[in-house]
Amino acid sequence: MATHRLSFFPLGNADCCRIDLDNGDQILIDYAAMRDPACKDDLRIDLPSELRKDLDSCKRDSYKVVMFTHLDDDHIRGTSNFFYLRHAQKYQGQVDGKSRIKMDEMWVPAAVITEEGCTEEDRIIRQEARYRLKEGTGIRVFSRPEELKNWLEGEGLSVADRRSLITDAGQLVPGWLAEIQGVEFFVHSPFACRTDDGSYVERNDGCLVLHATFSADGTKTRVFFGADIRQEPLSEIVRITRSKNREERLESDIVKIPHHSSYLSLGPDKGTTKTKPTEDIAYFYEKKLLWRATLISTSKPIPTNDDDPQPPHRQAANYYREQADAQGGTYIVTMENPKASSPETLVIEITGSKAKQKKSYSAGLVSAVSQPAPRAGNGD
Amino acid sequence: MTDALFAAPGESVAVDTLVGAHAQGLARHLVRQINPYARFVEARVAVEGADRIETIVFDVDVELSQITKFDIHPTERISVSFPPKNDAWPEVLALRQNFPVVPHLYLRPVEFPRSLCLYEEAYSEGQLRWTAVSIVERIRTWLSETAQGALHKDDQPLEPLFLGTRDTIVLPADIYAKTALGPTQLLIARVDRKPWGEIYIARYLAGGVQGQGAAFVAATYFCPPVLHGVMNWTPQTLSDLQSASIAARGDLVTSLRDQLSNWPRESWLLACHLALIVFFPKAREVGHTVEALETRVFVTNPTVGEIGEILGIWQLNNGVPGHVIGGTIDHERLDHITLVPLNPTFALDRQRAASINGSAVDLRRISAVGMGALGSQIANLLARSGYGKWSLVDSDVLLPHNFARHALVHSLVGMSKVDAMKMHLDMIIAEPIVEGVVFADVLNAGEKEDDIRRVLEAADAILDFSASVPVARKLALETFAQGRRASVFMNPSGSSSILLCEDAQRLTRLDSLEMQYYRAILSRTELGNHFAVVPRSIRYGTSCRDVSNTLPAHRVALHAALTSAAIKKALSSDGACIRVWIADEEDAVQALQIPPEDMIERQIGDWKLVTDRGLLNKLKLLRLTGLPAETGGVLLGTWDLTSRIVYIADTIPAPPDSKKRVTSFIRGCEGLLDKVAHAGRATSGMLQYVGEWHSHPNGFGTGPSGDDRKVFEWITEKATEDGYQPVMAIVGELEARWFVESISSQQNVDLGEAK
Repeated sequence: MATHRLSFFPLGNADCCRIDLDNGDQILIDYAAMRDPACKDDLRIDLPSELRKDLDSCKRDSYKVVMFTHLDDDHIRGTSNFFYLRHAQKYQGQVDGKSRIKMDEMWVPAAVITEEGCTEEDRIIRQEARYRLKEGTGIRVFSRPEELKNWLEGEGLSVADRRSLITDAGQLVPGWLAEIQGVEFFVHSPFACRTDDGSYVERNDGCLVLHATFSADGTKTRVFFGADIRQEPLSEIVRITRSKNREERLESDIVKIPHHSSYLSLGPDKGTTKTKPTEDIAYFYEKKLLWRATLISTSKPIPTNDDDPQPPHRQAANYYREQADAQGGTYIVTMENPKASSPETLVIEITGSKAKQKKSYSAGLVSAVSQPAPRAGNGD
Repeated sequence: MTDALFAAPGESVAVDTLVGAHAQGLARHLVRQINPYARFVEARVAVEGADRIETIVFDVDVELSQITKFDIHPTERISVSFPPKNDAWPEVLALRQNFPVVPHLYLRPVEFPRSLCLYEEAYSEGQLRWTAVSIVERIRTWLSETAQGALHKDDQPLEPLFLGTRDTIVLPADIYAKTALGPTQLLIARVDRKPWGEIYIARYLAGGVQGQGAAFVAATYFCPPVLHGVMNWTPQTLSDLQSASIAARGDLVTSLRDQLSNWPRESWLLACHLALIVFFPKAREVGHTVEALETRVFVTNPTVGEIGEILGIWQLNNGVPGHVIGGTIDHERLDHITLVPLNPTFALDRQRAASINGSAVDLRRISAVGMGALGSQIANLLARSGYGKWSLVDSDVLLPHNFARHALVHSLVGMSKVDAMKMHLDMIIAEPIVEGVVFADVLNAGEKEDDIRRVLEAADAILDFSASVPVARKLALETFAQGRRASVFMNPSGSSSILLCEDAQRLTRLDSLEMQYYRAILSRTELGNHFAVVPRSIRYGTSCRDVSNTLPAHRVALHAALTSAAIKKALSSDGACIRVWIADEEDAVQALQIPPEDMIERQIGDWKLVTDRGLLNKLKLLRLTGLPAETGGVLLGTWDLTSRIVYIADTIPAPPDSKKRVTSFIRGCEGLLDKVAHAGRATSGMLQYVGEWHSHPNGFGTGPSGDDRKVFEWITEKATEDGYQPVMAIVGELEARWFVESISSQQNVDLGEAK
């Protein structure tokens, strides 16, 4: 029985999802070490330790693929402190006495290569991605190939030289087939739109949005990884995909909800109790969600008021919850799972019976032996 | 939750009014919300007479794949009712009104709410580790695995279709075949009343029995295949049972009508009640092959006569059946045929006994000689699996001291061991396994000689449990019997047991295996103390297989267990075997396998020489090591003066003071006496000096030289002093030449390929 596993880590408003394929390959989508070690009450998980624990247990020191959907802090924080980066020796030595973790392949949207004005962690990732693209190995860039023309020429390379490393929207990522690797990725974003005069307009907010189709024992399970995509491009994705007659690439058993349940990924207005999505997005959630679908909000707990302008927004949450209910499914908030006072990694198992959220509860004594006991002594 | 729910038993109460420890514990656990996947709803109490049943109602979140086999919901409402006396598992109900029919539900008098069968073990076993808290996780797992269709593991037998009746009926194993032949009368007797139900035993009755209500008559019905786990109720009337058969696209009533129509209309038969035996073939899933047959027995309250009337077969006038023309089944009155459901279990026949023992039915004829402590216990164990058709030979009667270790019991004192054992073995399973007994001594059968001969001739295997070397030797040499011989015995201290078993073709006989066993005793360090006698023990026999009198029964049982398994194994393969089990002070057992060697037998004059390939290889190797000089040594073995056999088992190689030359060999004697004496002691006198051997160099053949003749004369002189015959061997390049009785009485044995 083939089993793939998705792990969504409780990181507050930040993303990291690990895919463990049945064939043993591991893929990371975003990396954000958000936990503040100085703060004892920080309920966010210690991501690097958590990932290392898993790597140690399977005796590995690398991921097959690490994707950075875009360069916002909540998708990349701490990357240079965890990964082995090829472009500079500085990022190759040990961290706290431990070897750095290698990325066999790095997947980034074109903006990561072309963007100017980066200064911090984003700059380091940009340098690494550029280095790999220049070397022509260990990287995949997502965009229309022509998009990279200028940059490649600046490095003395042509589009033809690197075409095999570039994947455009509307394509499957080469080398991955559901029937063989257990998963295939269809690229929704970044994409370019043809304008009326036939030229292309690049979308600057084109983060990496993928539709993954997992196959286990012949059964397919579809997962939409929405990154931080906003309502306008998401609506456009729905329109384009429908016009190309690729409805199945919009079907979802699992949706990684874009941008931590921000209303801006549904529609232009927050609404008072429930956000109203655009017509296309309504189609996506109301027509294309599959039975017992899981909607995952990688976010803080849903607030009861509107004091915080930042996501998650309760109105958006209400919409998502309603759509999940309509399919007998669930809307899960990573920082509330299983309860807000002690969030745990959300694990979803994908088998021939499709997706299943693991709900394992370790009773008192099991949890007692999986953590250090309190200090015992006879007084001072 | 929007699903319609059933009410849980009792009335809603506050948690702090609960009195039962388990109910309290579960309520507190849920109220504290420790388990994120379970939520408290309410506590309820029902008072039934003196009993107070406390119920906790809660919701559980179920780990659920998108695709499920049974419609379990992500959240289910559950009630757990604790029995007031804490003497049984709590009743766990799924309160959702449309909770599906799934495997592992308990049968209740009413179908809803459905009752989950969570535990396979009995509460008495499970309660030691069971906590109120653990039930929540058990329920969640149960629901999750049920949803997946995984609760019923693929390798688990299919579960019963009908649950609920606590009464058991033991049916004859061949009831199905019997009923096919016509009305089969059964006498059904209640033998015991257990707290958990009645036990009835059904036996065949031959012919009609007078008297009312004494007997039952069996009818059978074979239902079309049914999916397992989908019929969780118990039929109360023939009408219910008919519904069940129709659900499976069968028609029980018509079949029953056809059967009854063909029965003779005799008064005894009409007065019988019906024992309706229904076979339900079960499949794991729709379209799968039938993998189990469930049998249910329903005893009718009405008589066959009354049933026949309802089925429109006849009309009773003062109990006399009158013919009905065009009679039809009175469907309205099928409800009047009330049923007492019984759980049938079948009498243990060979087939089942074997399968429960994990073996196949084996009907080989076994003659067992010796029904003492070890033999009786071995036979007892083998009979448990219905192994073999036995004949027993023994000349003893049961005396009080026997029962300290024998399989039988003191109440049989004075009975012959063979009769008592036959009685015992024939009662172990529901069919006799002993075909005959001979109350006689194999060595001195007298007028029973022919009886013994008859059972031995008929045997496929002759098992010697006599603990007597002469008996074993005699059995080995009986030429009229063809069956394979095996011998099982214990050493004097009772620490070890030995199995010697001939190969299927009997190329290596039991007596040769015995000699090889002695040789092993001299060479294997594990067997160093094999024949040592425990100082405090009282020996009251003189044989090396006489077990000391202070041997505990558990040791006999231990060795009986080990050897009974080994006998089965040995007889099921073609090769010979020599096996020894050595129990230490702590009863830890070491098992030795001594590789058997092919027997070599030569008629030399009036005498038969019996040795084996192992000994010849040993001589051959000593010769090769000695080359270019000659070498030699003494031969160890034993005599059977009655059968005129000399057994050569082993050799003591040339002592250090021997003179080994290219053209001659003078066997020295330094330390030899001690070695021979040791060989005797170590084998309890079974091995002794029997003669000499020496080698000839390459190219000289094995013809006796002048010197060799002188050696033989010398041996002759010594041997005849003791009443034995001289034995000498000359080992050459290709052969060993054996001389027995006189130098002209000789035979060659090819040395074969070097090993």
